[in-house]
Amino acid sequence: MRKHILFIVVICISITVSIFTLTGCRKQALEYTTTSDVNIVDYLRRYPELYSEYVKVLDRTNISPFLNAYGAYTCFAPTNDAFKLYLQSLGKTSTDELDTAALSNLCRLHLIVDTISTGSFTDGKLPSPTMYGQYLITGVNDNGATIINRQALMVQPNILTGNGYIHAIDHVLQPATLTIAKAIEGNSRYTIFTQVLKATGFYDSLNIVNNVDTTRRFLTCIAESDSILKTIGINSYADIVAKYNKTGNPKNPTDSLYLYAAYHILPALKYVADIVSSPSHLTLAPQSVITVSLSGQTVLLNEVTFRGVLESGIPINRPNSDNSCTNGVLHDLSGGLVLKVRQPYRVDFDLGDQPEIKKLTAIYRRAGKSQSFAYGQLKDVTWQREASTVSYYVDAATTSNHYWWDDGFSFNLRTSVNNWIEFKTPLIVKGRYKVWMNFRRSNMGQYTQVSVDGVALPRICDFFSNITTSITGAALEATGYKRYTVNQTQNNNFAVLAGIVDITTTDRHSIRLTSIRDQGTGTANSVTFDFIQFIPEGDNQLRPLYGRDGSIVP
Amino acid sequence: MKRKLLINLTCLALLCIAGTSCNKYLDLQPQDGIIRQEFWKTKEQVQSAVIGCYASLLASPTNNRPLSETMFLWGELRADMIAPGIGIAADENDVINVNTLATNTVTNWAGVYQVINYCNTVIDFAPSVLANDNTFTQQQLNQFLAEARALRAMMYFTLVKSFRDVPLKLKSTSSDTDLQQLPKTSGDSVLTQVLADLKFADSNAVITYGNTITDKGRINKFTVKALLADVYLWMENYAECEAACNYIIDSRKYGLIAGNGGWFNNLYYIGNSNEGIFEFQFDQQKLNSFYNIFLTSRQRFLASPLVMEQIYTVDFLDDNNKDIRGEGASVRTSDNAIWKYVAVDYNTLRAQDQSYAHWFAYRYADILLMKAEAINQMGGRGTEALDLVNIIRTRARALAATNTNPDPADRNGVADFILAERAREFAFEGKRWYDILRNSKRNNYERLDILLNMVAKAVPANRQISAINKYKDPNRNSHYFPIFFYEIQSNPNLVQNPFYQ
Repeated sequence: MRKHILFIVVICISITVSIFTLTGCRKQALEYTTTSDVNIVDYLRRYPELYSEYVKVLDRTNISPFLNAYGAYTCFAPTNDAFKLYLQSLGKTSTDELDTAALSNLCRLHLIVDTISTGSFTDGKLPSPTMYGQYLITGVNDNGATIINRQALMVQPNILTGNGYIHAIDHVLQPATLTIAKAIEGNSRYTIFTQVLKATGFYDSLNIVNNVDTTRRFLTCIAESDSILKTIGINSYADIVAKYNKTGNPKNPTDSLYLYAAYHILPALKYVADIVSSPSHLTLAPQSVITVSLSGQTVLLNEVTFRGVLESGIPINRPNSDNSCTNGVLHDLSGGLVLKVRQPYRVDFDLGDQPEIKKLTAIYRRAGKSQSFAYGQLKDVTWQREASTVSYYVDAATTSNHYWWDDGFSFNLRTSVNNWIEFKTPLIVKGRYKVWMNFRRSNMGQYTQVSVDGVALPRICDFFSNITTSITGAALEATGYKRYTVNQTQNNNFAVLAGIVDITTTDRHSIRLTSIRDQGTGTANSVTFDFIQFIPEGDNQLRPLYGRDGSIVP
Repeated sequence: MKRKLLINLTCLALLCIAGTSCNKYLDLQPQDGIIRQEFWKTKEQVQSAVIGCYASLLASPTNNRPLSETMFLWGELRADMIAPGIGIAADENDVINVNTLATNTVTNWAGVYQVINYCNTVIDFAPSVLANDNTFTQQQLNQFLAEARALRAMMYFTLVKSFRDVPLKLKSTSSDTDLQQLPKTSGDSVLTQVLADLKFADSNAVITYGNTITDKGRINKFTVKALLADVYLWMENYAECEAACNYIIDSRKYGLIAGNGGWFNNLYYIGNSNEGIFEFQFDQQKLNSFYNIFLTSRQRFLASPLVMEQIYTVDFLDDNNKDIRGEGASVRTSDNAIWKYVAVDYNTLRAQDQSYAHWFAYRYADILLMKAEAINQMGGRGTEALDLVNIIRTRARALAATNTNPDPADRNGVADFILAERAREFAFEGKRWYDILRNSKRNNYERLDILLNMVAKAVPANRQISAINKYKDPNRNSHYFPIFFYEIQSNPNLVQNPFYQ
């Protein structure tokens, strides 16, 4: 019996000991990392059948260490097949035969310090440049496949790793090698345009590859081919010289040929997708812009209504455009783009004449109607306090007010309520203008500063005080006031001169009214406006006069 | 003696415990609900289950996106009538930009399959009630089955229009053993099943339930005919489509609401009008989700500026001359708010607790325009088709500027005119994208230009060319959604649509 017990005890002990020794000495599998997600290079290493060549190049150029560290990257990864094609095109058999510095540049063209998924791809350049310095462009080809830099198709998009995205591609991307000038010169379609560039000196500006740290690194050139020039009667370089070169020296900045060339160059990197995203673009021609509109799928340059006449636009030849160069991008036009000489002319900017208001046919210029608008509802009007509203109203025919078209535009303008309001004007031709504020006197806005494109005008406008009733005409004008209505005894609707402004570009500009000292009470009281006039400095400032029915009396 | 007492006491205690506890401890049935074995006993229970299917149209019990919202997103996001508002989700913006990826939550079809499962449950278990309830007749059973099968057909039709090939599940998922990992079934085969369901429903559905609300809110024979017309039109079977439309028109049970002052109130604000054929019955107890989508300061969607400029157009000379469906009905033009579901009338908003505008699956105007589209495609009947369109236009006082006056013999011209009229008539009713796709894909994508021109206007200018090129190749399914990544992960038998692989 006792022997039995002893035996059992021994067994028990040995089992316990063996359990302890067996389990106790085994290493416990503890997870020390916060995530098992791999970073870009580790991901590529996992699939040697696809990316072994790329990994080899990354290792050799010493890019792997930082690309595998934490950060935010987008990596375009050429597959092994892509490298095979690349080597074939160079007549090499292995990447070992390639120069390390060249390979490093090549790799840097495939890397962006930003996380960019296909959701951010547009028809133009990616939002950030590559580490090499050039931008990559994206697009979709006719088969619906995503295409990178017009060189490679996307094999697998949006592989999310710990430090960014990988996009697998089927060709190695190659940087642009030509400057814009060389690209134009090398293309037989642009013989006349090349001669113009050389004669005016712009060839050299388009041939410089600026350093990364200069502000003006990239240029955009919109070239016209010989056949397009032919359609506007220019068959040779001699013709264009005869047409434009009036001073005899094409390098003279006031010469028309010089301006013609300057007008075809934009001082920024703008692919077609960037061009359509903004209504106007500055050119190298002083104070001259190109305006842009989109009609269906056609991008039109300079389609504007000028003094009531629609000038049809010049289409960009899209298939021949978006050519990346080392210092910018080259586009092609389907028509002759000319810099027009426009004389300054007066602009009567009716504040109520906003596209959104015009669409409200039951309200726009209908007697007795009104409508208020919240921030964001009028695309060309912005103001400081977003909770504030503006309103458009039309007077009943019986009131004693005298608005042009009977309609006015009112808004808060007090430092403590709404500090400023800003309007986008219609097209104003460059020149010097007197700016008249035509308004209905009210209890607000006694200390208002007017600024155009951020430049404050000299006079502080007073939309509160009475006009001196005893003086009229030129004498009144001399005091900085005028009566603009047909009814020349009207003392509530009148205009105050804000100052003279130098409009430097023919474009739409912004005009801002700022309250510089608090005055008035309440939030409901508001400044009531009729319209703003830009009248060329030398023109008659007093005439014509404006009627309630919209008439203009010369 | 003592020992005996102890044993007796122990036995007694055990008996007490055993006697009382056996009742509850081992009972596995839930105490706060009813189980299937206890349920399918009476015809009233069948009716409750069928009504439950309709209730799932209004909102999902498991917090999937409400079906009406899904139908709005699927039918409008890819089309040209809405614009992003401040509160738009990134996923929704991606769909607008033709950048849909498989991770996009808009493509989640869970809410639709949930309704299908409810219908399947009725179809599987309702027949067993015949054995338990002697007052339940085969005819009554068939009427309930007709409703469930028609509703299921409607859901599968929506899926085919949106994804083309989808898994076809015809048995309910009522226990763990029913969980299946189905592969995709081709869109054509799914449509064959849809037609089979609808034909059963056609022979068995009731003509009327005896009151208006039920007739508009539950599927009757006319709803089935409307569905049939829509499916046949999609399948390019024009004779059958016309026959189905004619059945509804000849019944003289439906008509257009007169385009006078009460039009908006009757048709949209109150709902269940003489024009409605099948409407999702939102009411004060079950509000729709549209108030927050269209109205708050962070509204998700606005009407595109093109809606007033090009679709309805504006008469700048006479403000009384306007299409009643445009300003103040579909759109509040002062801020381009989508107005149809949140308005009482031209000027007045619904209060938030009144946000129960119905979702329209079908209404009489749809029947007239589907018929017009079908007979125009049959050829030689352009004049007749235009007459139908003009009935709709006259009612709505459509502007002359929108009348393209196509030659009745010009089949494409008339088709374009009908398509444009459908945009005006069914603005924001979840039909626009499907209308465009149906017209584009007709005769092997004979009119792909419709789709490409539409997308050129609908996407931002800097993505236009990419969007057009993505839609250019119809063979790669780019006109259909990708299958949501979660479905692909959980079901290895599903294959992603080729464009999104």
